[in-house]
Amino acid sequence: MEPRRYDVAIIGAGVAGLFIAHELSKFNLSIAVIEKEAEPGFGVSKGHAGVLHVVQPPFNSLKSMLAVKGNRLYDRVARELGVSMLRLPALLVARSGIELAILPLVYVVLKIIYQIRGFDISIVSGRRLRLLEPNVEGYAAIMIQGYGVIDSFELIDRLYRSSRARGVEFMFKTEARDLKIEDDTIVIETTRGSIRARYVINAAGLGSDTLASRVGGSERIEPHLGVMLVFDKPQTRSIVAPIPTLKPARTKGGGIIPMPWGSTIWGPSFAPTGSREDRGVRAEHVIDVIRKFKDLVRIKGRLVKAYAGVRPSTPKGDFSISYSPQTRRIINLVGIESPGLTAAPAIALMVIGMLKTAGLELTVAGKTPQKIVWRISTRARLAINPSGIEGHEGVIICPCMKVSLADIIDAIENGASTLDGIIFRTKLGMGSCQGQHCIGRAIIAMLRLTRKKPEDLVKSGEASWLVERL
Amino acid sequence: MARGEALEKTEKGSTIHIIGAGLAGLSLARELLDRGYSVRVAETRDRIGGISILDPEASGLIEKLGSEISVSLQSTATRLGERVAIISSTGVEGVAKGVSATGFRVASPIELGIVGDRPAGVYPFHAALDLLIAGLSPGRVIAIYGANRYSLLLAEKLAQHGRKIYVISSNPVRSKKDLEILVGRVRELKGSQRLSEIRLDNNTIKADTLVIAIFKPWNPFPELPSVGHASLEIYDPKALLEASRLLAINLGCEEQARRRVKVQGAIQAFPETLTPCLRELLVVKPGGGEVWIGDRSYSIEGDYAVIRTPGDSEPLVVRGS
Ligand SMILES: Cc1cc2nc3c(=O)[nH]c(=O)nc-3n(C[C@H](O)[C@H](O)[C@H](O)COP(=O)(O)OP(=O)(O)OC[C@H]3O[C@@H](n4cnc5c(N)ncnc54)[C@H](O)[C@@H]3O)c2cc1C
Repeated sequence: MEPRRYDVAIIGAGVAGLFIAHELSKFNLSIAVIEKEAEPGFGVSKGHAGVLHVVQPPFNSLKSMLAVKGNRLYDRVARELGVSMLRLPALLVARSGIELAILPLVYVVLKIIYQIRGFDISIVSGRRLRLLEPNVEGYAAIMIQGYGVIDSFELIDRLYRSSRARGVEFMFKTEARDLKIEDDTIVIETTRGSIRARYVINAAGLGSDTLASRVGGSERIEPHLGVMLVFDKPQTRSIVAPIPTLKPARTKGGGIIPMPWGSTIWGPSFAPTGSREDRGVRAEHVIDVIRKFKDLVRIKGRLVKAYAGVRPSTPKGDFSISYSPQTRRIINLVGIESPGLTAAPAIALMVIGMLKTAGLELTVAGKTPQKIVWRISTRARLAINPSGIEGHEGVIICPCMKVSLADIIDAIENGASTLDGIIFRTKLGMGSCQGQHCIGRAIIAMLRLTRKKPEDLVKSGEASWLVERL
Repeated sequence: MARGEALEKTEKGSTIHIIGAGLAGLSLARELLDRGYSVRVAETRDRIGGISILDPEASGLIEKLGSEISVSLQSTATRLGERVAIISSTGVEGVAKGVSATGFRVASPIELGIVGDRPAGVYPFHAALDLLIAGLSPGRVIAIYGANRYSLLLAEKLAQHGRKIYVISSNPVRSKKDLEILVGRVRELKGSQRLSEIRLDNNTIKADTLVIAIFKPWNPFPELPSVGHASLEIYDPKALLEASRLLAINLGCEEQARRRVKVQGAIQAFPETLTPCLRELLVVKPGGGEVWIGDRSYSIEGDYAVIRTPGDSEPLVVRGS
């Protein structure tokens, strides 16, 4: 029998690949997503800051343009998929006489850049700043409208489930090793056999340059580490950062970022790393972040966690979204660094346009699939109306984040096969007590619910075993 | 925590919710029941005993208290807006009067200055204990960070089950049984998927598991008074019983007046405010030594003492020597 040939194969179930799958699944196409990890979103997309940016320097870059477009698409996406998202402004705060003195100049420059693209910008006096942000220390600030923060774990989960419901096939723990062009078919050699498709989207994040190079690509990723600190309480209502001046690269960017679920992130830092697997939190990066933000805000809550993510940066400093030099049937996405989360919905539209240009016929799927009714988490139900919480909804495993046994069951039923998968979907252990009351119990619940052997439970990767029999 | 103990006059008819069925919560329940109060104990886990469950000095008492006091298991206190509520499979119930007996908080790695990778195999003490009780081991070669009553009990138990154990302590402790005790501070973790290496300031060990057993008192519901490890860092079960007794006297006091207990220096005192009914104060001084309450000095043997409070001067100031 002829092996199955998909219309489109997407390599990588990060936020970019998932948005592409989600958008393509609206058409009459057979689609496969190939992902080397056990679950969606375990690549770059798991270690970021969750900010919906506006423009990005350099301002005429592809990434800046796609971020602006993507940002605008998010309200609809979040509504459609029921993802928690907050719209908020960013405040660039002047904390010294010098910063106050340059504020008008910075304002004039930024006004040109932001206002052209439709983002309102204004100067906030010291008095208003104290009203807006009682915890922030500063003389005055520049306020830019249009930012957002999003629960990106929820976003990943919903993109995955909605595409799956529309017939997209997901292959996890399957790593693409090579690409071969055979007439009108692309053969993807994977660790689990070969997969054939008419069109291939290489959205492999940190692995995208290696795959692209198999079919003529020359882009090279130079990974950069970003460390973020998590506090367990809200500190600000806006994204707050110092006014931009000429700063060493290691502390470029970043801010004080309120998360939709009530904690606060400081960061990220920015520094090159030799390894794409590196997720190490280094003391000097923690110190950089603390130094940068400590005088900006009165700290509320406790520092509960530090984590790191890796940016798939390229020397060019921009996204590269292009056809392979050898065939227009392969589209490579290389260098999808920050603001890739923001840009992702716009990246998807751009890729679909490129597929169309390359000859893929796009007819809207005949029958509209059943609308998914998204389950409301116990945490959300408790916030809205606690009456009716009972049964498994009432068995709270994580008191800080109000995660119930029902939430864990739901996560497992909808594809969580690892502890991190449960954590990302439910926010288990992300609160003040960092897992002391829930991690053990969640592992025990996983054992009971999945009927796996203790030694087969993992945190995320295949070798990240959790427990063994006593 | 200044708002603590703001339990207004407690009428004997109204129910006091005790949050947590560890030694502190259970003993407070006993004290209040003995004084004629109606008490409900809510416990988030499906067992009682908290972290004292491995403690041979406490387990008998826990069993006895458990048989006398009815505890709602899998009933979790949480904050709903401005209120504290208890959630269980039978519904949500608001807490009008309550006490936090929620136990210690385990320090987080970053708080302890631990950086590096974030692999599988790093567990807060409570999680490791939950696993153990369920018949699971958190790992094979296990380092336990923090040397105290509870961490050593866990270490012994895991060693009995054939696990290689290191206890890491920032100051020298008496080596118990065949436990290997390393003196140092954990600085960095290595391991791409599972933990493989723990770097101390003076040493590096190969281990696949790190159990963090460095504890802090923490009351997640500051509007409620707290008792036990939620308010005190002390490792003697008898001290927990004393604290429960003192708080019960406080709670039962009909008189409204209160004096604040002000603590100076690295000393802990319990409770934070005194009603006119309570003339005793629990003062913690690990290793013993001299403490001052007001202008009087007291000598403590052991790690703590319950001291009769002098005079009526306001507030009461407690300090080390
Ligand atoms: C520290 C940090 C902070 C950030 N903050 C923000 C922010 O605030 N706002 C914002 O908009 N953006 C932010 N970003 C950027 C954003 O996270 C990324 O741009 C985005 O997640 C990239 O998504 P992706 O799908 O391209 O990559 P990924 O999420 O890495 O997806 C690629 C997937 O491909 C898989 N894969 C790789 N190789 C193969 C292979 N050979 N075969 C099969 N599968 C493979 C990987 O496992 C992965 O799941 C940040 C990034 C970092 C590192």
